[in-house]
Amino acid sequence: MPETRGLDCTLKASYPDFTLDVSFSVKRGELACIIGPSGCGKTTTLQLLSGLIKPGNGSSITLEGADILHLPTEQRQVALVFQDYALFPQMTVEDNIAYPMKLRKIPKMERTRKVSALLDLVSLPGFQKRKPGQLSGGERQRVALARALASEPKLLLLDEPLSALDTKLRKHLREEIRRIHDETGVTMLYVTHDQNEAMAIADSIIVMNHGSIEQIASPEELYAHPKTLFAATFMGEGNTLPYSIITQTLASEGNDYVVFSPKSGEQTIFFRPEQVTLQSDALLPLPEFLPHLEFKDATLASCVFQGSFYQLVYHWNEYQIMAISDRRPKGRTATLGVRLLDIHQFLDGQAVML
Amino acid sequence: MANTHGKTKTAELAWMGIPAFLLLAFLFLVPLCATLAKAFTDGEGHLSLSTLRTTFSQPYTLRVLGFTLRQALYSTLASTAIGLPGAYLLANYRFPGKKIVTAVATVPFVLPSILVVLGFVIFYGNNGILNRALMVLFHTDEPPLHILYSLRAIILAHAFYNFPVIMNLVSTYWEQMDRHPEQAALTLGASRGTVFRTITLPRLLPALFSASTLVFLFCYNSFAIILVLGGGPVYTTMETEIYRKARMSLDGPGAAALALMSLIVTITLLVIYLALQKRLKTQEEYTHSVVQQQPTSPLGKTLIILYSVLTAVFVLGPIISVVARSFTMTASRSAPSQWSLVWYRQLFGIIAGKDNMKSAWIALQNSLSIAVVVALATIPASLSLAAAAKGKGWLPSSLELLGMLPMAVSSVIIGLGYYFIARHIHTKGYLLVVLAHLVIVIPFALRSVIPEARKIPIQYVAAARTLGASRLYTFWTIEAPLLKNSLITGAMFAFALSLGELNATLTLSDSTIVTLPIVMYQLIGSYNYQGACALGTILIIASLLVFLLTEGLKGNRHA
Repeated sequence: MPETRGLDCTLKASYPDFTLDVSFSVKRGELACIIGPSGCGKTTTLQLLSGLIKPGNGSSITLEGADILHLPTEQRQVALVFQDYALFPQMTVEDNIAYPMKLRKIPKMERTRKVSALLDLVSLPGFQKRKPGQLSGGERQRVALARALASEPKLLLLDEPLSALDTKLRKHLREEIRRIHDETGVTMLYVTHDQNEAMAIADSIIVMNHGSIEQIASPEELYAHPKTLFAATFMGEGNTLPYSIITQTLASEGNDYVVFSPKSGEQTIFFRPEQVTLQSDALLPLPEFLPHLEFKDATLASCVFQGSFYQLVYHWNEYQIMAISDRRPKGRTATLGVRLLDIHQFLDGQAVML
Repeated sequence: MANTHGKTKTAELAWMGIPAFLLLAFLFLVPLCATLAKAFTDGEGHLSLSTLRTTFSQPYTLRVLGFTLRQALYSTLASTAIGLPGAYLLANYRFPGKKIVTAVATVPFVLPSILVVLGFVIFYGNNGILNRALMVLFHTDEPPLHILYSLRAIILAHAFYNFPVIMNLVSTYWEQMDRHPEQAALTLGASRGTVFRTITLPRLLPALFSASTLVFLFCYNSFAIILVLGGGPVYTTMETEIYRKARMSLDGPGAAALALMSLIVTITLLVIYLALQKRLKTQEEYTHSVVQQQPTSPLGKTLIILYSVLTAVFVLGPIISVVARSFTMTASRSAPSQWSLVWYRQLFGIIAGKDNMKSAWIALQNSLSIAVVVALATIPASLSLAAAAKGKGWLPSSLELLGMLPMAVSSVIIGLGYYFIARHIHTKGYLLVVLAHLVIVIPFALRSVIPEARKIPIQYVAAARTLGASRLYTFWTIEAPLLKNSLITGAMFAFALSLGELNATLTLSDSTIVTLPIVMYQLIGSYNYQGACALGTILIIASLLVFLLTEGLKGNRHA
């Protein structure tokens, strides 16, 4: 089924202090997010895809079944929305959006009509005659998006498109981008360092670190089943503790539950705050027969009201454990419980199946 | 080039520099080589080192070189002494009329030096306006100031011409300097004087040295001012000596040898200047958060008023005198002068001119035609070089260097090269003048265009390309329109420079070639100051128009 083929790529690039080596696919019509800390190679990936930098040996890019690796940027049909928008300052909004259409020799009438349709799409009707200098950050962002869409790309790349905007606008615009994606059906690859943004809009998330991919999965899958410790900690809050804690805290009948045979290497366990039960406050504390960890006499270090819940930090021995609760905890100390089922184990950062 | 992964593709337009490269190589390197080759011949045209040996060891040459350096040093010190207080005021205070002071200070910079000399003579001369005013003021019959035709006159004229350079460059740098170190020093208990001495001045030094080196270079290469104010063999510099040797003594090889010597000095100076410029860029991180305040102390207010008034008198006095004098005539030596339009009627060919004024009308037409041709020619040349010089790497930067190189070579030396060529190919006429002017003005046009080209974010190009535009199409539709203003500015500067060009024109041309500055020089030489002032007024108007138009374009920058 060639019509469902989107992007398939293997990208390699080497710099003196940085090597990029990634391989991934994006289905046609999908919105994929690349996420990772700054310097992980996100922007390099986009520049390689758009042909703005030369790829290293062994790279390959196919888009909708066609090999585009050796095509110059202008022939790839890969549009890029820049972090700072890169609107042409001397042109009006209309001329900016019409620019790619002029290149494709679309007649003037048609162009005018399409510009107006695109401006409607990005919720900026009537902005044709403005200059980029007269627009706010959010408006520039929308114009940049409209201009990119005007080139009718097979793949639309967005390089941290919302990073220069304030939080509220960011939330609103990411919904807008998702809506525009759904309306146009264009294949999108969206780069961000904000995991909330990625989780909110992506069909699939590509987690990158140090120039390679940690995991590719749907947001839900990624959150519930991180393949690496990095993916686990990058996607939301969590507690990372040494493996040795298990022997000290394992609470189960007969205490003979074999968790994991220790191997050489750094072993860690990881669990999310919402998986921690306040044993003393809970209506139904975790029962003996359900294998779980118990952190007895943990002391409350901080309690931050977040509206719908309280964010708690407990100290247990020399460790910190984050938890959440829908009520303010009663005492300064508590016994914390975590089901063994909810614990992820990592050996040298890689997930180990229980 | 085994590993080129991840390199950004920026140097793609280097080939666009080829036409400009060929043009410059042909127009600049050929005459320069003609001059340098001449230095290695003897009087009969045989290959020989004897000319160089005699020239370099002659006590007279060494004295000329010594005087050139000495006058340039004094002039630089004088320019700095006048310019630095202005830089302080401009960088630190807001005050009414500040814009006017800046504008007035830019005026000498855009005026041709022959005009500066004329204004100087009219204003400061024994019979000049300043002396006459003082004579009325102090009821004497003797002019109290005897400035002209001395080293003092040369230095004063140079200071008038160059103090704005110091003032503008230093104040721009100063304005953008982060004030936190000064504030920190104040909070640590340093007095304002100590802060200036220990914090501000050391931070300013690179800018000050850089500006001074530039002024030194200008004064070293000064020609018209020395030619008119120096007068005799006592006050002669390398440039005037090159001209004199080539055109008066008809000693081509000797002039070429002097040119070689002079080149070595100026290139050394230029290398120093460029090194300082580089340090300037890396040393300070610019901030634009300085809040300038109105002066509060009476001393500050007095200083500002004093400086503004002196600048106005010092700078505008000579210029206004030129314009005023152009509308007067004197029937005979002893008769009082009266208002008259006679010089303009001669200049515009309404009535036949006498003596040197005969050729004024033709000179005006010639000069305007030459300047228009030169200005138009700089546009494609600088666009081509700007496109090529945008990228990184050895090719773009060497192209830029080639474009700037004619600045390192004085216009007298460029004129000398064309003079030698003209004698070989027996071409007379205005083509050579146009070509020589073009070489001289291109660096100035580039100085307007290349920084603007560098400012265009690489993302614009990348964006256009991801939208489907080829590199060349991107250049025409995105970059060239963004460069439009700087190209026009560059062309207008070229126009003004060409219109006032005397040095190269005088050196290369024979008596059949007349331009406004040449006729002005002849008129000054025959003491017809009023006629010279009429021609000078035309130059003033042209320079003023160019200045106003370029200032107008400045406000029209993109966001």
